[in-house]
Parts: sequence; C-alpha cells; structure tokens
Amino acid sequence: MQSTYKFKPQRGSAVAEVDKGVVLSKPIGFASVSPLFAVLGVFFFGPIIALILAIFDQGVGAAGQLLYDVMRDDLFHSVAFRTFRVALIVTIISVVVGYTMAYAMWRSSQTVRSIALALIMFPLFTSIVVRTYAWTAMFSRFGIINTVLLKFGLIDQPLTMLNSEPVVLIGMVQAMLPFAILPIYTTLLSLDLDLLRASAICGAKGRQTFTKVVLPLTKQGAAVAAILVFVISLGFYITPAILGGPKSAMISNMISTEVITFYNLKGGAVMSVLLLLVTLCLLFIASKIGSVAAHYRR
Amino acid sequence: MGDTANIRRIRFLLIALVALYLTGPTLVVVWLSFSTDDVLRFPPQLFSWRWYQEFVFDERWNEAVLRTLFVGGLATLFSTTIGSIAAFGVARTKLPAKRLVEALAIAPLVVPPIILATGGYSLFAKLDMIGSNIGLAVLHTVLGVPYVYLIVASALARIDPSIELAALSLGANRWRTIRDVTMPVNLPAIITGGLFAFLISFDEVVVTVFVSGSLAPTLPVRIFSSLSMAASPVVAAVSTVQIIIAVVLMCMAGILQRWQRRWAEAAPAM
Repeated sequence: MQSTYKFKPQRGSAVAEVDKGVVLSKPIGFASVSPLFAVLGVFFFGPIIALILAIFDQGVGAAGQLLYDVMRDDLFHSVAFRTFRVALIVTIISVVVGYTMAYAMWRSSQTVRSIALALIMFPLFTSIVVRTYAWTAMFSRFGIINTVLLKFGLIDQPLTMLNSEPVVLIGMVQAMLPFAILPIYTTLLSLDLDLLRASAICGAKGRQTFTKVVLPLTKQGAAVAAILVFVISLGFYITPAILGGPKSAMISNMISTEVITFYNLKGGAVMSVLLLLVTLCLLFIASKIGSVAAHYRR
Repeated sequence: MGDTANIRRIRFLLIALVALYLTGPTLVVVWLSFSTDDVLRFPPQLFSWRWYQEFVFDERWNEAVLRTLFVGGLATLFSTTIGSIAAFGVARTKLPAKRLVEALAIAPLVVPPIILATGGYSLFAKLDMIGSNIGLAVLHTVLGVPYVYLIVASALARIDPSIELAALSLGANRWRTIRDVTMPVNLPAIITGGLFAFLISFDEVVVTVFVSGSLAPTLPVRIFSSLSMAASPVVAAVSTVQIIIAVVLMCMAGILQRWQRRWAEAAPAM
C-alpha cells in the first residue's frame, strides 16, 4: 500500500521537524563528527598506513619480494587454509544453530523469549579470555568431561582433548552464536504477522508457511549475519591460542608469532594487509546484500 | 499458533540446550573459584576464599587491576564523548554523506584486532609511544567508539519527535532543544554506550600485548598469559570477579534501556 499523496512541509518551518526531530545546520554537523574522524584518522587509519609503509619502505621491488616470501611459505599456506576452513565451519554451525534458535525463540512465549535473550547476551558481556578459560576447565586432563567419563567407566585413561581443532571449534561457535542469533531474531521480529495469517488462511501448513514465507523473507538477514560471523571468525586470536595450541594456530596467531617472537614485522605486516584485504572484500559483498550496520543495532 | 505439545517441548529443549552451551561452562568457573585444592580438579573440594585472598593480596594482580581500570576509564571517557557527539551530528544535523560517516564509525568493529595490534605497534614505534597508557587508551577508544555510536544513534532514531516539537513550540531554539531535551532523554543510551566501551577495553588482549612494551600486563592479558602456563585456581577467582562485573553491567544496561524507552519513545506525562 503506497499513498499517492505526499505532504511536503516547508523547509525551515517547525513542521519540517515533526517526523525527524530538530535538525541543526551543516557546519555543526561537520564539527560534531570531526573528533571522531580525528581519532579514527590517526589511531585507526594511522596503524593501517604504518603497516603499508613498513612493507613499502624499501621500494616496490622489496615489497614484491616480501609478498613473494610470504606466499611461498608452506607454514603460511597451511595456516591460511586452516583459518578459512575453521571460519567456514564455525559460520555454518553458527548460522544453522543460530537460525533454529532464533526461530524457536520467535515462536515461544514472551517469558521464554526474555530469559533466552538474557542468556544469549551473557556471553557478549563476559570476557572472551574468561570464557576460553572455562573451556579449558571442561576439557583439561582433570576437567569435568574426563572426570565424568572416568567415573562412569567409559574410559580408563583421561583423554587429551585440549590443543585440538574440535575444541577450538566448540569455543569459537560459543563466541559467535550470539552474533548469529541476535540479528536473525531481530529480522524475524520485524516480520509482518499478517503475512503468516494470510498464508494460513490460504491453506498453507506450518512447514509451507516456513519455507514459502518466513525463510524467503529472512534469508537476506541470515546471509549478512553469515558473512559477518565469517569475517569475525577469520580474525580470532585468543580461542585458538588457548584451546588450539601451536598446531591449530590461525592467521592472527601466526602474525603475532612472526612479529613478537621472530621480530619479523614486515612479514607480519604483509600477512596483516592480506587479511585486511580479504576482510574488506567480504564486507563489500555483505554491504551489497544488506545493511551491515543494521546487524549491530539492538 | 497451533503448535502441538510435542513441538513446543522440542522447541523448549532446544532453547535450553543452546542457553546451557552459551552460559554453563562459564558458570562452572564460579564453582571452581571456591575450591580448596592447589590445582584444578573435579569435583573441587569446597569451600574456601583462599584464591580470592591470593588475588586481593597479590601485588602483581593489584597492579594489573589498577592499570586496567586506568586505561579502561580513559578509553570509556574518550569513546563515549566522541561517539555520542558524532551520533548526534549524524542524527540531528544537515551533514552530507551520513552513510559514509556511519560506515567509518563502525569500521573498527569488523576489522580483525590483530591488524590494529601490528599496525599500532609500527605506528607507536615511530611515535615513541610504546608503553604509553594513554596511547593504549586511545587504541581502545578506537575499538569502543563503534558501540557507543551504534547504541546512541539507534536510540536517537527512536526518540519521539513530539518531545522536541513541544520544546520548539514553547519557544526554545533548536540548540537549546537539543541541549535541554534530546540530550537528557538520551542519557541512558549514552551511559549504556559507555558501559560497552568499558567492557571492550576491559576484555582487550591482542592490541594491549603489542603496544604495552615493558609495562605491567592488564588484567585480561595476565589471565591470558597465565593460561598459557599452568593455570592456578587463582585465575578462577579473578574470572569470577570479571563475571560478576559483567553481570552487573549487563543488568545496568537492561535497566538503562528501559529508562530510555520510557523517557524518549513515548511522550512522557508531565
């Protein structure tokens, strides 16, 4: 339904401000965003420029050589490949479980919804270091899982579970699930319930309403959520460092080792810039599908 | 709608399992922190405060807490100020290219922290700022500002325009309307943004490790590095303190959001 008549208030009149609230002039606008731009310019873009300068400070040829060295490094290959694989698995699990969870919450009563929301917000507030520590307490040699398995006689020796990829996946999915559930849940909440009633009146069964109405209307939001989860997963540092050990290192861990342990700032800079480029490409794709900013609003 | 009892049961079970996965392991840490044992084991021998005493009376942990609070406080102050003013500017002025401003404001949220860490390290090495607490606070500001911006911006977008219109029609000019009406009703959102900015700084490890130089580690960095070695139960006590702070801040954010809604989103009865 679109109204053909549009009321056009005069510029500058108080009526013009009815739908938007007060609007101040352009110079005040520039003044208000300038502190943000100053800080981001020096301390967000500054570091990125410093990385690029570190790569190019001995000319383009030397920069090419640096890139060549990184690209030829077998360790870099395996770490980069592992980073993509882990991020992809985390994304698939988070979005599938996240969608199911969001849908289940959406169909539940208001009480269940509020309690579930609070429990989903909880990990967002607790420190990632603390949550990762909690997983070591679950999976360590004398952790809960080994204790329970030993007690019930399912194993004779405590299992070594830490320092392996599955445990990293468990920790990362826990960290990323809220980022999948919350935007998808918000998208579901914004659905027009009349559409569902219309679908039911037209004779659709519950499953049909889901596949023909709910899913098509929410898949765009789910796609943007998936890309964001993937992008954030690519940059994980703490979870693979603590739960994965050196054998499950991801790209952030490798960059950190290069710079801190081997004093190879330039190699680390090349890898950082490559990671940044991948991130930017993915975000560009996400922004073509839907609003990225909307996914962080609550 | 017409869901059968079975579907409802499965749905509830699913929600409960996911919620347990998200919160359960973290809460086990609270249980562990009251252990009397010297090492982590299950089930822990209860009940003692010894690990809390160790935390409170240990000079190095104290140093870590102080530095964390100092850096976090500064970062909160900076990012709350900068982020709220920018959000006001985008929502309430004739600024052009608002979508670009928004994209820039949230950019630090989606760029991997290791990039800010290595980049910050190279930049600070040139500026001779390695080991500067203020430098670290400004880098944390960069990480916290998107949260402040997003929270304040979305609250501003939901303010009932009739509140501002009432002020205008009573003779206040636009500037005064913003200062005396819009700003105060938005205060809960600004504080919520500040809480998030504090939590971000309070939780930051990667950037902090890179630019701290020879300074004492912050609290999360100390937890992180003690995990790489043998984890003593004192970490469980420290973690429990962190969890309590997080829960308190989360409840505060919830209450603030309710105030925000009450004050700003419907015309308040005077």
